[in-house]
Amino acid sequence: MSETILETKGLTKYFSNKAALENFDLQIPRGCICGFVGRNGAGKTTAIKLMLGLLKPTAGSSEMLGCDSMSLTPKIRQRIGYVTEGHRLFRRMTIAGLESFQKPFYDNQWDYKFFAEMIDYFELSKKQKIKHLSNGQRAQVSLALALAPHPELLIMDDPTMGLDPAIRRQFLQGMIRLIMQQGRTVLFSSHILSDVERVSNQIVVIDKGRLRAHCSIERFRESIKKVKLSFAKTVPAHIDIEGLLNCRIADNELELILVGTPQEKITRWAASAGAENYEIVPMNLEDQFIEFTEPKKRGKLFQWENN
Amino acid sequence: MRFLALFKKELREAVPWLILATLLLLAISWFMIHMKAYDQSRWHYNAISNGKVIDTYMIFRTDIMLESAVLMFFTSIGLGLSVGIRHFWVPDFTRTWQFLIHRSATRSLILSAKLTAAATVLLCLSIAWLLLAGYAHISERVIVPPESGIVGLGIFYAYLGFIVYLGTALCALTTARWYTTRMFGLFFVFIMFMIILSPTNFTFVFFLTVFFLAVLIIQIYETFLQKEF
Amino acid sequence: MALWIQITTGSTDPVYAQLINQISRAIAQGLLKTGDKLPAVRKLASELVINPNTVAKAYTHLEQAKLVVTKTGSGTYVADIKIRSADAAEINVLTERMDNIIARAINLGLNRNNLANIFKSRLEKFSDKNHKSGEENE
Repeated sequence: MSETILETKGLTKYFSNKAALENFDLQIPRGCICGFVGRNGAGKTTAIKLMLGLLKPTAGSSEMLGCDSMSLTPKIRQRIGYVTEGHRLFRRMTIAGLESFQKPFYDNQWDYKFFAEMIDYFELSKKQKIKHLSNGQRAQVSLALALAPHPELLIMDDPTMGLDPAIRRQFLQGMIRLIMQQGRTVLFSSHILSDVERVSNQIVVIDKGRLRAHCSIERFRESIKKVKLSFAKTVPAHIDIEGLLNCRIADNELELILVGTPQEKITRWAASAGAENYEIVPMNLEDQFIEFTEPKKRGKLFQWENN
Repeated sequence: MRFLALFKKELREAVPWLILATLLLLAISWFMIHMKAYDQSRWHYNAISNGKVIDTYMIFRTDIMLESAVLMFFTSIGLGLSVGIRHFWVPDFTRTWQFLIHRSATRSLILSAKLTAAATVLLCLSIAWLLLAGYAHISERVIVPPESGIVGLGIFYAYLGFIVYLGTALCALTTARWYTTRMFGLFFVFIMFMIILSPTNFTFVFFLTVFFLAVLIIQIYETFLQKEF
Repeated sequence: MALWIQITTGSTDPVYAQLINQISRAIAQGLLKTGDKLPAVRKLASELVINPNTVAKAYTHLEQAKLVVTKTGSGTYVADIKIRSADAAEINVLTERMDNIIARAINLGLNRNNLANIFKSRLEKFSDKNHKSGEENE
């Protein structure tokens, strides 16, 4: 089994002169749960569709399970599960009908017992038609259909959008259960950062069509810091600390958002800038994400609205 | 196995339209045949009972199934159009494209399943037409049974219906804007109709349709295999 | 046994830190005694709905801090407290943290007596049974 399950090189996609994705270089190792995060329109769905061969790249390449995305063979596709938000399935079919439609595409991989157990657990009946199911129930069916063949690589594009917390939890449980089987990998995009933090070991941040970060979730959490400094008189006009992301001033207080700045450098800068004291304020993942993807106004100081 | 699963799914989607078309065709044609047969026998009877010299040609100049053939023409085209829209166009159904394309099957297999299902549906319609013709043959009310030419024509119309399906499919798949070449598929089919409906040799007409069919199929495959979803 | 671990997402503490803190605290409070077996990585991951890797990392971290010991093929167990002893560096970190807490308390208006009482009552929550050796060390 190869170590890299997914690899993109310079993957670029333009939609009539507008770059949806640019120079996207990513390697996902086998066995991890990788969370794709980014603002709306950042390019997550574009990246995923390019990887699955649903879109043609303008430049660059992408490989899944060692096969080029533009020519994924049926044998490779059957090892990949794909779930999208909205969970659009054939509305006129029953759940049983969908199962018998799906089975032939997986040769001997289909786990009848597992599928039946999941449907049972969701309190659904196989005789129900898809069009009579609620959004949440359809998502549950979609999850069962994706997990029943125990795919080697499961790709989920915002699968829990608009779903209640209980169903979101079921998706996370499904992911954890899959990852515990040997050699499985999960890639999922989500806006719900608490879900991403919960189950991912790696995080990929896509911002305005570009890869901004790809590291372990712990490293991401440790790297982005909020530092509050207070000054006796005025805040220095020029802030030149390494790793500066954002800064805000209010009266004599300065709030800095830093990326990857080592502790000693913070202390040294605080001293050299003449700060009275400084404090590292803990942030949660959501705050870190928002700061990391805020529009950049590097070097300029901007004011809070003080009332 | 994969092809069968795809084929069954596509067929199931098209079947409601087939049922509608078949019922329409059979019910209305049956009615039309009976009306015509009654009319013909009434003329015949009146003429004989009045002792007039009748012009047989006048009474039976048109085939018993002529009007049904006209209905078959429009039904086939309607069926081809409907199934084409159902398979390729309606957003509510085409939102499942991503699900379908990601199945472990080549794109050409997926497309072939759709086309085969549509062909099957139109084949079923021609079977319905044949049953109708069979009925017109054995029915005692019908004085002059239908000619084989008309019966063959009905089947030819079913085949034209399939070409309309292909034209619809091409229009749905192409990425061109509606005000440029989007409607090329159906326009192409329209041209075909213009040519074949003008009085010409049937052999020429048949080979022409084969040409149009081939062009459409090639275009559809090329477009589908390259299409982005 | 895993029921007393609560993972709060959206918290300023990363998931692995919460795990480490809660297990450490349980050991310190005597809820987990020497030789007690920690839940298997997979079981805990499955129950808490977190990545098994995160659990593994937390266990490794605890092992490096000499709070637990992993026996291959068997599982992870709470380490023998007698083996542990705080070194000078660790005590420094602890002292610094205490200073921060004291500073904050004073800024909140608490006087030294209040603070001492609060500290004492919190201390009572932690069992002394495991810490005879600690007292011996100092």
